Amino acid sequence: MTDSTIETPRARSMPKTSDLVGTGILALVGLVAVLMGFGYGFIGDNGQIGPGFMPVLTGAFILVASLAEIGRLFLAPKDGSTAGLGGVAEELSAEAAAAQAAARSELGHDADGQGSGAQDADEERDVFGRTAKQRNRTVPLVFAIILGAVLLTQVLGMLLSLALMMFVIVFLIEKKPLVPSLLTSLAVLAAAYLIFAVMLGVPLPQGMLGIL
Amino acid sequence: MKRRSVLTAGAIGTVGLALSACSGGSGGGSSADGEFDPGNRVTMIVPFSAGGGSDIAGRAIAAGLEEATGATITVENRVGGSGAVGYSGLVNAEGDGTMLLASETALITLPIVQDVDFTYESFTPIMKAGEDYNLVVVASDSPFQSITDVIEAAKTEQLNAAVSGATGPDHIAWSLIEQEQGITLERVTFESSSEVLAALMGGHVQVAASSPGELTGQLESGDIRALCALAPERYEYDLLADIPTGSEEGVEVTFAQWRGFIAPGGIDDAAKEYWIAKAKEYEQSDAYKEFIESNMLQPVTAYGDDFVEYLHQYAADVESVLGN
Amino acid sequence: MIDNLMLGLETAVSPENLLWCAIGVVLGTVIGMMPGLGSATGVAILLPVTLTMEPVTALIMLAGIYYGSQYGASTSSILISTPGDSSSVVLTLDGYQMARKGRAGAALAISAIASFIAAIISLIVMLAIAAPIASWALNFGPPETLAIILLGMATIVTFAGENMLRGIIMAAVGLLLSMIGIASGFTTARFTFGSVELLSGLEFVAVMIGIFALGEVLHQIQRGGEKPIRAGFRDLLLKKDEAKRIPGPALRGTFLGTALGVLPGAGATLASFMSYGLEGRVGRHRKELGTGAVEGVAAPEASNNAAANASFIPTLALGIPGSGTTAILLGAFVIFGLQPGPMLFEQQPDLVWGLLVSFFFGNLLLLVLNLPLAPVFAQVLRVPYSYLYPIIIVLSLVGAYAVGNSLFAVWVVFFAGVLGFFMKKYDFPAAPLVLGLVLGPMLERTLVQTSSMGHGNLLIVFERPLSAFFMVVAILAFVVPPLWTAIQGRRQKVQTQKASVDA
Repeated sequence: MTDSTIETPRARSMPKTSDLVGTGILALVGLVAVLMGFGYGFIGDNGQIGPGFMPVLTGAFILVASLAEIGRLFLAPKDGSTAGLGGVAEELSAEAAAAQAAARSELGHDADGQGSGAQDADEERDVFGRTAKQRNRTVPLVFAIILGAVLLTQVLGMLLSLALMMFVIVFLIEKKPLVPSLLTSLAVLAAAYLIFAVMLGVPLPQGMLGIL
Repeated sequence: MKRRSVLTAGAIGTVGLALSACSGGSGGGSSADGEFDPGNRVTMIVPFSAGGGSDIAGRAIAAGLEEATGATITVENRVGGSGAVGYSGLVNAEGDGTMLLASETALITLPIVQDVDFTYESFTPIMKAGEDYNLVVVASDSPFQSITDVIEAAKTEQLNAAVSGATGPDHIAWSLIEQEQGITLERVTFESSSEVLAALMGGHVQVAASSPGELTGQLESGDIRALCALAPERYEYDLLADIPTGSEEGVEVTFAQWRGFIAPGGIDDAAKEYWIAKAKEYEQSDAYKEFIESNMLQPVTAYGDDFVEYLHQYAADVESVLGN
Repeated sequence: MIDNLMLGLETAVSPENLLWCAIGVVLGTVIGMMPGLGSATGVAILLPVTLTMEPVTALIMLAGIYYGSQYGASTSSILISTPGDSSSVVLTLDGYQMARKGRAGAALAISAIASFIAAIISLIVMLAIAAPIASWALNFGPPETLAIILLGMATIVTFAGENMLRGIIMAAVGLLLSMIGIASGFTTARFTFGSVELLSGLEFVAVMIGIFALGEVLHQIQRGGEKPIRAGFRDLLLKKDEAKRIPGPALRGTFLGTALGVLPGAGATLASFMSYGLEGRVGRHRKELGTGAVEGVAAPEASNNAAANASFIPTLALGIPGSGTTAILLGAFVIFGLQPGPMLFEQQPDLVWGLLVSFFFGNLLLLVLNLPLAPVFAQVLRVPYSYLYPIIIVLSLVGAYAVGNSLFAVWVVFFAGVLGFFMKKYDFPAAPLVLGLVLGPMLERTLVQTSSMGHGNLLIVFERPLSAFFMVVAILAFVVPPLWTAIQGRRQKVQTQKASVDA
């Protein structure tokens, strides 16, 4: 209930599909929780709260509130289609970020200072030196690498596979030079080993290799 | 999956200063012919988190066995699923004589109330180290002076009994009393025995049952009073000697939770005999006496097949209360 | 009391105890800074190490780890939006915003000062009136706790920011997630789909790491990353007008934290969320909250430290732990053959008072360490994000594993990370979800207990004076702010219309 919602004239627009899908999924989750909750027993046979009581109530609430949110998305006035998101959020939304990034990449330089320490002057550009399109590919790629590293834990052991993951991300995804990539990965390996295995004595999985 | 830890006795006390890792996995191998030797590395799984009753017992037993065997026994808390995760870890270690698990009543109750892939028969029970009977307690300002008062009151009014956990030993004890006396008590379920105590002392529930080790501080200070011990005989500890047993008061119910340790299923007979022998050695030690006394347990032990026999009977009792 | 203080001082200042106190707070700080490693895990992991020490030394060190990790946890929340503990989740709001504005050093200094103020005040309360407070806290049974939790839930309205509806939906989703596993008070396993690991529910720490650490990192990659922050050294220092804004919220936070910490089971997380909510209602700068306000750091940080200290009151005085971490410490007492409770003060006064007095030295040391180190820690933000984010991922995954020695938690982090990424992308706030997840089990447990106590009648919450009082406050907290906003909105609308008519 922001001021802008109230002030702006009522020119309606279609809400973004992503918002609809996300909220729709939530509504579905709520519905499933209600159904399963009744299966667990809403009220026990002694007239008291049953195991399904909270799931049913919470699920019903999520269902109703999500439907209300969908309704709000449709009813939201045109100018205020992002009214609920607020200033910061607006900036965060994918589209906006992409637009900004496109603008920035024209100015583009390598901001991390790794190869270009002298260029501190123009701070205003994409940190990774990537275009929006590349970045959209990076996210699933990084998730996939994490997934692979966790699976590899069974084989290499946790620390080795995570250090390898770090190296792959820095060297292959972030395209950093080989030596710094290698050194930082080894440093993180050493630090994690010292903190978790030595200082805290956590029995980290060693995998089939059984080295670390 | 082999695990390592540097929390060996040697590294203790130097943590945070000396960053010395102990030399890795001399990995206690399985048995050679005839004689079983666990090697230097034995793991004792504790299926609950550090600091709890299970953890305290597990660490005490592990320390005692270290003395008896000369091996390094690493205690590993594998937490989750009300103990199910730890027990499942032991299922996966089938045949490995270097894995042990600090066990208690959950070994019996979990398979009855949850869908888990083990029962006590999936493992090799080694030692029942002690029994822990419940005391029925009330707040010091309670009108109830004896268990009989409680039972009489329960016939005319609705009494609230605090229990820790919906399937805990105190719940089972109350159910047995209800069955025998033909009464019903409303259960108010808490997460731990200390929460039960808080509710009792705050006057939010009327009665509770808990093991003596959890109650010593409050019994000594007089914040709570014990009405009876659900044990076959009176306790010998000074603090508990004056507490009548249930049967003295006409309540013929005894129920103990037990503590001990088990090994994975499918281990060699040599390994089983080895651990039973070492456990018997442990029973003779001062460390054992101290463990029993500091936790106010009854030193009733059972080994190997006798322990299995005990579990069989125990499971039948629990099943009669919890099974549907 | 003076005698007791002297006795405690004697114990606490022995070189050995001072040394282990220092080691404890430093270890605690490091542990707290690790994503997901909070005080409970830290104390549990290091408990076995202390078994060979003198009991009092061991307890001094373990307690040092406890409050030390409260300091450390806020550092990682502020710098990289990766809370080390659920009680520092709130700091990812304003603290992180301050860091993004180049004021990381100042934010860290604020949190250190607020923590110190809270620690000292709550310590004085403890020394003076531990026993009476502890007995009074026993009046809080399940119905009273239920009412307080509902009051806490009411504060999420503040966190939801611009879009209240989405915030509340996320809190409900957090509640729903908290119901996974064996239902409290029942034997029914819910939403486990046959998984043994899920029987005890989702480890909330793992969910928290996933949503905050992984979710934030991946979101940054997608939107082009955070620029390394090149703040000059002077920017990192606390400004005078900022320093002046610390005491008010810190005192309010201390009060709330002490009050909630004393209650068995209520805890630091609830206290930090509620004190943030309180600043959103009464703070002089409440409009700035969420954009990097001093109050948004000082209040929750003070309250979570005060709560951590105060949770020792019922632990020592009654033998009933006031928090998850003190529950583990209670186990440590028992391992050392000590029985916390009223008798402890009489039988082992040197231990009790020595432990409490050591808090003073520990917190002083933490302040001395954290103030000058604040600008140094802030240098982390100068690390290029290309290197920083893989490090965050590695430490998050190892940290999650360490919580329960289980790979399952690592999977939880991964999937929570995916969830967190989409939540950030589509602007669903994460803090209410964590609040729901943390409070869910307590809410349901007290609800079920209240139902049992009333033999099915939940209305007994209105029949008991204390719980009735908190219920009324909770209802007001739910109802008044939206009404207020609506009224103000209408007034503004009228004004706008007038203005447009004039034009």
